[in-house]
Amino acid sequence: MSESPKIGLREAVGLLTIFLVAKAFIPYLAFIFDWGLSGTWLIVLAHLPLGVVGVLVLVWLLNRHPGKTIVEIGEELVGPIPNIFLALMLLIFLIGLVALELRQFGEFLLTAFLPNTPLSVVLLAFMAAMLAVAYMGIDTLARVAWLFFLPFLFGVFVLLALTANLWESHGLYPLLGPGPWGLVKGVGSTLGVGSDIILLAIIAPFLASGVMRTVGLATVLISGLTVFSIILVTSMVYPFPVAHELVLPIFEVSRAINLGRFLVRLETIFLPLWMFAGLISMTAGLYGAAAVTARILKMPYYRPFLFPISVIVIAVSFLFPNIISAVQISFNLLITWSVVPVGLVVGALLAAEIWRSRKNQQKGGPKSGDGPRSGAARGGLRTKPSGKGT
Amino acid sequence: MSLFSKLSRRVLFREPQEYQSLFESGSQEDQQQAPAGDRRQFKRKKAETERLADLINQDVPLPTDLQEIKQTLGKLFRSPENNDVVIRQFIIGMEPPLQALMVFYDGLADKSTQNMAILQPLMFFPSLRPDPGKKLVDSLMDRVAESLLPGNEVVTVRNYQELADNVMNGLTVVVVDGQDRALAVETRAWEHRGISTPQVEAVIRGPQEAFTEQIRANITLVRKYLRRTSLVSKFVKVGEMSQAQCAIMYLDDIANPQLVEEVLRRLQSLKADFIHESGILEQMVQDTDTPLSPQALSTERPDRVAANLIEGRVAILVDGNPWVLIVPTTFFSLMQAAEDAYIRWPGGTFARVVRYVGLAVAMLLPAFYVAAVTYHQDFIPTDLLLAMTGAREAVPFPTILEILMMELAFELIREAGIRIPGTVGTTLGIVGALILGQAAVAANIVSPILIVVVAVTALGSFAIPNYELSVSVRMLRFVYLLLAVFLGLFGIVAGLFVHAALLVQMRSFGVPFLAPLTPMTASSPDYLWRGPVWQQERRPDYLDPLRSRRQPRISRGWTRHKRKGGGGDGGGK
Repeated sequence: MSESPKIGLREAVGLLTIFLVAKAFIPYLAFIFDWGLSGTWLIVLAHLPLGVVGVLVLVWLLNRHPGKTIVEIGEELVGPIPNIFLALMLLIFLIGLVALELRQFGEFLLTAFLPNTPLSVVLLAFMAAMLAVAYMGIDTLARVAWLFFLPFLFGVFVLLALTANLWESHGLYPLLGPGPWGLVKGVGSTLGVGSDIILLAIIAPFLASGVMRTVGLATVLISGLTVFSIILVTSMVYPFPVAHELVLPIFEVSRAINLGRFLVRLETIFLPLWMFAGLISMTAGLYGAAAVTARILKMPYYRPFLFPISVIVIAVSFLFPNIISAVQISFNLLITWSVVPVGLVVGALLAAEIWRSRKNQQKGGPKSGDGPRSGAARGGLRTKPSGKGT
Repeated sequence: MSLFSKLSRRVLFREPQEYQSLFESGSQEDQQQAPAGDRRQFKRKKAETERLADLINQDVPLPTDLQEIKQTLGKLFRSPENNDVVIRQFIIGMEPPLQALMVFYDGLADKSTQNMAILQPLMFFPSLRPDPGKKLVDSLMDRVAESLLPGNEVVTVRNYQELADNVMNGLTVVVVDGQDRALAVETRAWEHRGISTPQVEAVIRGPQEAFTEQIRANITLVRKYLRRTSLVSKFVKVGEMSQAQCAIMYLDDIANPQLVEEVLRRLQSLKADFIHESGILEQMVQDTDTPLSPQALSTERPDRVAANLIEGRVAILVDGNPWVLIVPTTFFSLMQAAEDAYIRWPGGTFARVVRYVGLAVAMLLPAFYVAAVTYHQDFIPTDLLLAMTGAREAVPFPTILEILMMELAFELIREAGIRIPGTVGTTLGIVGALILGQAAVAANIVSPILIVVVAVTALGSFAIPNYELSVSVRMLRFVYLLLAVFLGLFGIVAGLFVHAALLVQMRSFGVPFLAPLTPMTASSPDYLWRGPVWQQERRPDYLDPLRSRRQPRISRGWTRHKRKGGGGDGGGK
């Protein structure tokens, strides 16, 4: 087990990219077609520069407080009581994310591959694997993610390339889909696609100094381009409104591959990639939730919270009566509205940081993050990652 | 003993609480029934063995009285009950004559060396004169060692522990009356096997020498390949009841000193009865007790040891064992064979790819078969599906039972083939597998395609170059089978996920097991594929060697400098 986890640049990029891209393999991303119609690919393309701006802001905030997670930064900037509310919002977001992804991955598996297996068995099996790896530590998970990252990207792009004979460019027309204003509304309503990047703020203490910007930018660019490619190819293979009817877009795209008598039913080959991506993504979310809980309670160990949080996640994932309601709520909560809690947290901290910097500059004192106002001097706060379990 | 241990012993194993103490002193029943004389004898014997152990453990110096030494040696070596030890008293023919004795194990010491290098010079030709101004008695042993004993290695012995160690190692110890020191003369000559070809790591192209049970011979074999003054072989004794001679070898100007220190620390801290085999030693020094994979590379090839030492690793040799451990190791080292480097790089890379495919097949093919047949029939192309279904139609057992029966039968054949000696074993294994498979198919117990699956799986496991890794893979195959039977392909994927995490977490002497892939570190192209020899420029960064570069960027100087004189093809003056 990791005593003092360290995550390298490549591992961090692999972990965060898979965390962001895994949603492309479950149904709820398909709802984005409702906003973009034939121009959905433009919405995803527009998310890229916005994502870059967002991650740069986040990285700026994190770099002002090296060695701290966002919960500790919040405690330092806004005080313990308001920070609890901010941290709870993050926690609820992460638990909701994992629970909804778990339900959708489970239903995906049942629909496509295990029709006779009870849902509870599938979800419990997922959770058992997630618990085992989350227990081993975030650096273990990051290394597994890096191990899988290049085959994952290769698999995704090979899958998309194999459908080249089915591409029809008329699926992209009209180019602007619902029109410019419709696209702007679509971009605004689906900003939550990138909320998952908040995981960077939780694993920040374990990254080497000076790499955070590179990690953030590389993650946003690679994940953005990957999701863009998936949406683009889906739009060309299944033009709108057919794309709107798909429950599992990428699964349907893979089923469409037909390169001769023997090269059919290739979705089998890609299933392991999707399942791996889902496992890594949900394990990262589970770890994030446990780590945030540990930071809220100022405990050095996150492992005791893994099991209780997994119970909550399973319970939440079973709340929805069927997959349709789960997908609908996922889209509304995660894609549309998740930007609110995450944005609130980051925005509040950003505002506090700017206010404090200006106040210190006016007084001519040290900048925020060093000197007597730092967490170390206050006592009771860890400014470095704890020795065990985090 | 904790409360839980006590409870478990009483409830689960029905051991009486006084088990351990009674074992040592005899059961209460025995104590009540045994006569008092036997109990006194037992206690006397125990006290005597403890006294003799103290002689060794507390570095008791040798006394000067020869008779006292002779009596003590008799008790120490259990003479005359022990017929192997010889304590031969003789007289050194000086004026005045001196009493002396030599002690050795019959069978370990060479008689002709004893006669020529000890007895003859001391008994017949002693002519010692004292140094000017000194008495002969003060420098007798030095003069005897310098002038009278022509043996190539003569060591001074000052206490009973050193004396016993040297005698047990085959040397002959000479004790002289009135001297507080003895001399140990090199007379080792026990029977041993000669250098032969490798049994397990056979290659078509490459050296055909393998290690033997002699640690000195093994060290010599490595020195033959690595001719560097910085090649250090450091001896360490390991074990409590019987100390095994171990040695670590490393290149002092390449290996990381912290790695060497860690290896020594682990070896010197071992407290076990008897560590006589490198496999036992490996289990005592490895980082984690996991069935997933070995954490040290064991090899019987000196060329492989030399190649690893030059990279910065450390070799651990155990006397009496032809397998040498190399630490630290990674997954990719375990999948390499010596021959990869000796053939051209496309061939080496191809062989490595085949091995990785073999590993995947050995571990996952049965599980995939069960998952496909049980849960995912639509994955299989229709023609193949019809053929498989037709073949399985008459089989009354579920797929998982079929495959478990055949896998277990194959494992039985494999184990039985090892135990049966000679060519009979090999023939029996092949015939047994053929007949068993054919008969099982004819009896509709299993389907023909399953025989193919099991056979290909077995071939895959034989492609794994490291024996211990192949054993681990064979065991893990059954875990994946169970996952496949319950959860189909998803079970296999979940198992792979946890398996990958466990492998990533493993370390070998502090080095991550999947380095240099994750964490990614600088290395020459020699882990997933075998790059050209002239591109092997760097030592593995995860070893943090003292010299990281092993050859310059242009290692083939002839490619840079053209030959002087001569025109084009066939040209000339």
